[in-house]
Amino acid sequence: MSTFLFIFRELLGAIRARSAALFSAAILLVFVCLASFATLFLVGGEATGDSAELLGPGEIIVHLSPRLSAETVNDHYLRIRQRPDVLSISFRFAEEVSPGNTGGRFFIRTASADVMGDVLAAVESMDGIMQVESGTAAATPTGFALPASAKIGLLAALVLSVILSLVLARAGFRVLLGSFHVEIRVMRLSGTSERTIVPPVIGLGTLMGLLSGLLLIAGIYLGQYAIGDAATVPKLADGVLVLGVTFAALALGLLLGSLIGWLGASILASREFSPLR
Amino acid sequence: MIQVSELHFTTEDGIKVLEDVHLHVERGELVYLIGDAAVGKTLLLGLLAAQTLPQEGQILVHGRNVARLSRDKALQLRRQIGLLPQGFVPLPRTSIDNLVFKLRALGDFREQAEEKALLALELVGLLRQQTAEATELSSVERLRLGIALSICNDPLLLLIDDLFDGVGPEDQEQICALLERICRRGVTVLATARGPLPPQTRKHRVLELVDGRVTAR
Repeated sequence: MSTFLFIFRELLGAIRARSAALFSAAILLVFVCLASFATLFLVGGEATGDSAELLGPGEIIVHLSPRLSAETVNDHYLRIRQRPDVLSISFRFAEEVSPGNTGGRFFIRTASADVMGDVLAAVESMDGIMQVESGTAAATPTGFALPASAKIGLLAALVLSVILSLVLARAGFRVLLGSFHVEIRVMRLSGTSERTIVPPVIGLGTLMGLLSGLLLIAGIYLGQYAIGDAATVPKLADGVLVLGVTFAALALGLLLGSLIGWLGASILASREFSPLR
Repeated sequence: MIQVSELHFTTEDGIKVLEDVHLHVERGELVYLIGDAAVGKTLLLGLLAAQTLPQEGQILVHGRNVARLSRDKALQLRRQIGLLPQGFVPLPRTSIDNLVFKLRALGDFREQAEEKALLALELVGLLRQQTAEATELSSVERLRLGIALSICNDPLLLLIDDLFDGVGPEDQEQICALLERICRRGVTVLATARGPLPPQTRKHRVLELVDGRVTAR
């Protein structure tokens, strides 16, 4: 471990302006890749929640209290269905519609927009009704889905950023290891094992991936914080999803960083680093 | 210490560099190997130092057959061999830091590495220049630093390629005396050189590499 840290520190110390610029660009590109990945999952899913529920004329959504018993919900259901001015009614658990929510919802379609007032009055008089939304008063959208073109753009950005980051990081490693080649030759000449020389190089790549991941985490939470404060802009997703995507992006960053490091270490096989060159 | 028999080496172009080389060097012996440029001196040292694999023939160093060593065993052997390559370029740091770098890369802790580095610098007569930038040293001081770098981890065998390259006649004698001091500490030394050797080398065995063969002089 001590040798790893020593060589790792020496490698860091050998970073000069050019390699630093290339590495910074690679870190930024890995960040772009992770951000595209996170965006796809955080805001790129199917439209869910109230935003998908823009109601047409004659349509009603009834939000039921989670404390209602199954019998009461069933009783409400039957009472509404029996009304002649109701064309159809269906029940869905709130969790199905919007993850993290509790209770249930009735989706009601009335015979016409004219009778909706009567139906609304009847529904609102029932026990355990938390909220009623109707087609005349369209629900305020509280989320959004990415259009297909945006998703394709994000996927393209993800793939391109991965390729470009690998290319730039390899160029950075070529410059860095070029300025470290005398040290590498001394190590090889004196019998230092490749198992000692290679891991710090891979470690440097992994550190780059980690930095990108941490940058993304900061971005996501700062974004969430900013969006949370703005009343007119909906939250991107619930906390569990954000946490999951954050960890997945961090793992992806580490994986990509390790790949970058491995690519960098592959340069060590070139003749330039041969001890008797 | 070194036992080479029936060693052949042919380049990819089909040039026979080494042909039926036989060489025997005793433990603690100082041997000079002379030869013109491009006769295969560097190749022979690379083969002895387990840096290059032999194609044909047998090389025994410390009783171990270099051709049959596993990767780990070859690394172990390399750690017991100090190899100073031709045209040695020091690291762009101080003299002592050059040695400390090598020792730390081999696993020594800082204090231990500094202690060994100081001993090696003292042996080669560079103690006063320990904080001097290695790239600013004179050619003979660089050679001394290279020797210190090669012996700082206490190898059993020291191989030096093109010993007197860029060293004046007066300094050559000092270098010979230094090699004798190292030899007296139980280290076997094999040094190659191109030109005529200084008189001080006459009390040691001098071999010559001609037409791919090693002969006594």
